[in-house]
Amino acid sequence: MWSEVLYLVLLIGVLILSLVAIFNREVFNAAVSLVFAFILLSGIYLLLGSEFLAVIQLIIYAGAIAILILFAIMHTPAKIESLGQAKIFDYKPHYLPAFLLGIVVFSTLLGIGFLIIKEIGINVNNFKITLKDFANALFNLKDIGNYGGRFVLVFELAGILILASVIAAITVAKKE
Amino acid sequence: MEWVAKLLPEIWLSVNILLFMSFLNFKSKDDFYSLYNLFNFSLFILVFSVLFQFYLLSTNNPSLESNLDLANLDLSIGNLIIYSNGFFELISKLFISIISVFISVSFYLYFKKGKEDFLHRYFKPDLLCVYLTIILGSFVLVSSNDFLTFLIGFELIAIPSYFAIAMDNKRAESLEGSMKYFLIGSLSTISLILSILIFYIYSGSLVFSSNFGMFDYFGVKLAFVIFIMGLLIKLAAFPLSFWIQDAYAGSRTPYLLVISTIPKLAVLFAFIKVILMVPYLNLGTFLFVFSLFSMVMGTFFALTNNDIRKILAFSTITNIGYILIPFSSLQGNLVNNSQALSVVYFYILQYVLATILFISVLIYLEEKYDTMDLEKLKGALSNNPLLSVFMIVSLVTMAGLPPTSGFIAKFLLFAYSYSISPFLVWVGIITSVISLYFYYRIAQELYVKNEKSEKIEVGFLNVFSNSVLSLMVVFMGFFPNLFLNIIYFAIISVFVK
Amino acid sequence: MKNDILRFVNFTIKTIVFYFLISFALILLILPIYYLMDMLGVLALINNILGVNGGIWKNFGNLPMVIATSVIGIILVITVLMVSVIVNVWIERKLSAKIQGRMGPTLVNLPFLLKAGSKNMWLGGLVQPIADVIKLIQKEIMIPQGSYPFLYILSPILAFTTVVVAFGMFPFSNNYILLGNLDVGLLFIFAVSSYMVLSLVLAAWASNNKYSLLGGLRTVAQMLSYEIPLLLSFLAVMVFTGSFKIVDIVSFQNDHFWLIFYSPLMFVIFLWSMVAENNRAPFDLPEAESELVAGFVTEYSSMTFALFYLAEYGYLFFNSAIIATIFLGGYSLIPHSILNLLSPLLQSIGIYGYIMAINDNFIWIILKAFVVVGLIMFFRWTYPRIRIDHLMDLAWKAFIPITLISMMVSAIDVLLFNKIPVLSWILFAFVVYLASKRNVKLSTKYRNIPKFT
Repeated sequence: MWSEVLYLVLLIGVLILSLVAIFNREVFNAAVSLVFAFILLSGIYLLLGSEFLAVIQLIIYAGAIAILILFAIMHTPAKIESLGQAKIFDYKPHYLPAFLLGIVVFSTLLGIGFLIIKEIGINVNNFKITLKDFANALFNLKDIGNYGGRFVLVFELAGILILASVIAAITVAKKE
Repeated sequence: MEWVAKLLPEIWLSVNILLFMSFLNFKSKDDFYSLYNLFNFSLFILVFSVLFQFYLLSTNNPSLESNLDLANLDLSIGNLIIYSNGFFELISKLFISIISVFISVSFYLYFKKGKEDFLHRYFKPDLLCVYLTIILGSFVLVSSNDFLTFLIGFELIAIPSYFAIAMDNKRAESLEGSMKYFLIGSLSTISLILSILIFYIYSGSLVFSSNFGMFDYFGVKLAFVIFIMGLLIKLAAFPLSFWIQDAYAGSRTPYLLVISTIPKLAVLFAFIKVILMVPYLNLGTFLFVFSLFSMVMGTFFALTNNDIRKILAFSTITNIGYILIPFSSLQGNLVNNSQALSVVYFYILQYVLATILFISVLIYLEEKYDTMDLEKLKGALSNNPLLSVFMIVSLVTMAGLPPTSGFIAKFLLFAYSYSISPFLVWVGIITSVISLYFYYRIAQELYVKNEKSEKIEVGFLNVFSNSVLSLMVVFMGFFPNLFLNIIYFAIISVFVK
Repeated sequence: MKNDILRFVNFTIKTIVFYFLISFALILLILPIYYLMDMLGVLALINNILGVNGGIWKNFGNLPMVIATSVIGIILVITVLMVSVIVNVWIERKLSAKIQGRMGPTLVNLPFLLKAGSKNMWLGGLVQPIADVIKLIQKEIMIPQGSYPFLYILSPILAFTTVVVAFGMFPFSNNYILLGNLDVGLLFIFAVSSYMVLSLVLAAWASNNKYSLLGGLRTVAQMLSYEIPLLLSFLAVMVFTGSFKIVDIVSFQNDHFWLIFYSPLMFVIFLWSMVAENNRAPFDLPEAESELVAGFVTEYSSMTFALFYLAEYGYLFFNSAIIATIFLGGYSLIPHSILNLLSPLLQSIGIYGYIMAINDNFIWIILKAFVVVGLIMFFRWTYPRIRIDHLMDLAWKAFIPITLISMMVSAIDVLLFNKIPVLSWILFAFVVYLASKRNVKLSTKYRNIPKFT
């Protein structure tokens, strides 16, 4: 029971922080709330029983990517006086279609959620994925139950994807 | 050993990505000519490795090693197939690898021997790495048997494409086009991931076959629609196609050659494969809208543009519309479906060949005049009979006129789907008549007499490859059955499995 | 010349001996708290609720109990943190004074031990850190005009919280790891301690001061860069143990030998990366006094400053304990493999039982942590600060390639040589050879440095 309560608390926290990240006009504060949203998200992973994913979320997303966003923002020449002046929602006529489309997409997502609950119900398996399962799925070529070697190929291909992206990004970014 | 044999082309490509990355970093700039020869050579090896896999597939006795089961090239762990290598996949890979050789040859003018200003003003040799990654991604996409591999293949194509557009980083249009493509492309990735999520919630598995058996649930149907929409963004069907004109207009021609051919081919092959796996699901009304809008809007947008690249982009949208006609009229009949889909396969194949021919001429034009504006290119080809012939052949093919494969492909496409959706076919016929105008306009503008027009020197390798392409297009027009039979057999082989 | 060398050796030995005597003496401050807790059964209670058997998120059934034990645990952790910080600060001041030929703090003395104002070199000024803290608490918290007040106050709290959470995972011993013996163990510790950079960045931005901002920029660049060799060198060593669990790592070292002898190169890189992560000299670019006033803490005063100070020293002590756990055998004094070898000899003398009884105890991890702290303090007071581009070059051009190679080398050792570090030592010798042969020319021209104007 208490873990459900904690889950709700974390969920509401993530929601609020994400909304702050969207609607805050001061870009640094938005980025900071994004960092905390990431941290709370890792708490949800922890509750769902995947410690490894939680730790990776903490190290990669909150610890590196979000900090890099902050780093980038710190390079921008923003004066404090000029920030915080703009209204949160400054209505213009061409926002209307976008707003309607947003509502459509959001209600679709919500509808999918309800549909899933209606068709197969809420089915939370109380399983725990250990580090060993991760390792088996990613590296072990033998057929071990559910996890053996299933993602070896995907893992290697993801490595090539990242390598190629890095090369291409350097090519695009470098000066002659 | 077994894995190496089954993944031979993919491993060869990965090795080459590493190899060329290190070459580009550590070799001196003078050696790029030999590097380019090496690149073409390695693409030839790629073709032969795919052919070798055909050989392995055809041999029924596993003689290489005692425990090796190579008659079946599917990569499996336990009972689970994680990477399928049937006849359909191999024939698709063969087409892709052969086409990749043609594309690579089109870069010949940037690597001419003894060219002093080697560091070209907008061509970067790093494109070779990006290009290899796109080929690898298309192989993975075609061969994937589960959603995760599919997604990785999709990204292996998409992310290098974003970068390829932005390679000429001093040009604002390039960066803008890249950014637009990136934003809308990430939408397609999001929709793919969302659909995979829903599939996984319902079935608890990522494998295609176990998910596509669950269409009794409405949620799974919805997930499949979202999945198809992700693919349609990449294929640029009309309401989801707003990246394509900016991405095409933003990219320089060599990069355009890479992003407009192989990704389209691979995504469409994967699309066909996915559709083949769910033969009884009726997506008619859903794809009807996309098909209709693509044909009509693509044609009308193309009429008003001056930029050749933009005209190509809208022509692509129109042709995607034609391709979606058979998809929207699929019915339960297995044989009829297979025939319609093999015509689609044939159509995209010949269209991509024509595109390569078209852009390899544009590469010379951009190299010479540094613009793609039709107004400024008046009479640019009036003194170049050879390039003119290639250009005319490609335009005729894309417009779908008789001596070439474009006509027969379009004819078969309309013929197979007329009985089910005559409305779409009539729209298709009308729009193809209208589209003759802008194809004709390109030719007309390029041949208006112009005193300033100079002769463009064309490299031998280009002449050779373009001649082969032209002849192939015409040959396919006269003997489509040679190809259609093979393709039909490949498509049937997906069912047999 | 010979006389000079003799004097240098004499001085160094004296300083080291001095440092360790003080460390030994001051550990006695921490021990009674723990023994008291142990006797009262509090530690066992905490472990039952929060500890090794499952972890905190499995025990939400009885929330009041979890909260109660959490409060006790936090109090315990903060006590340890405070004591270790006070001890470390005092040691550092004394040690730096000794190295520089000064006396250090002598005036504020412990009553009943020394007279007030007695200029005793050895134990003088023992209460100085406590007096400093009292002074800092009394002052007013100044919030500069133009700053972001919320982030400005948040960042020191965040820094201190990070350290407290990290101390919750302090690898005391087999039984006393407070936040539970996680599957991902040390990885979680690295994840938590990487949040130090967040608080420093927030402090730098919220101060709205150019020195702070420069300090913050340097902090991010430095800490993100050095996190990569830190984790990679950690992974290169973990290839041998095959687990991230603290208990598994220590038991591996008990069964075989300390991991520093498995991969000395990784020890060096890990130690230096830790120093850089901790923003200490010679890598203290973010708060370089001569360039940036005080870096990201320029605008901070009173308790906000004190929290940063506490966080820094707590983090130092905690990192040293992590190094001791990974490389120096953790909470066991002598590896069991060595003890088994020596057991006939020890039994003949009759002390085998005693040694086995005290071999696995949390005293040793604290002692080893103090050893590493001393090493890092020696770095600080004997090396000059390095330049920012050299700093980045060191991480990206030396540490990361070497650690990547070393990961492969360790894997080959495990696969082919049955966990005997043959290739690791060959790599170590090779790198040492390269370093000795290479004519080190540090570039004198500034390059690749973005201009912050």
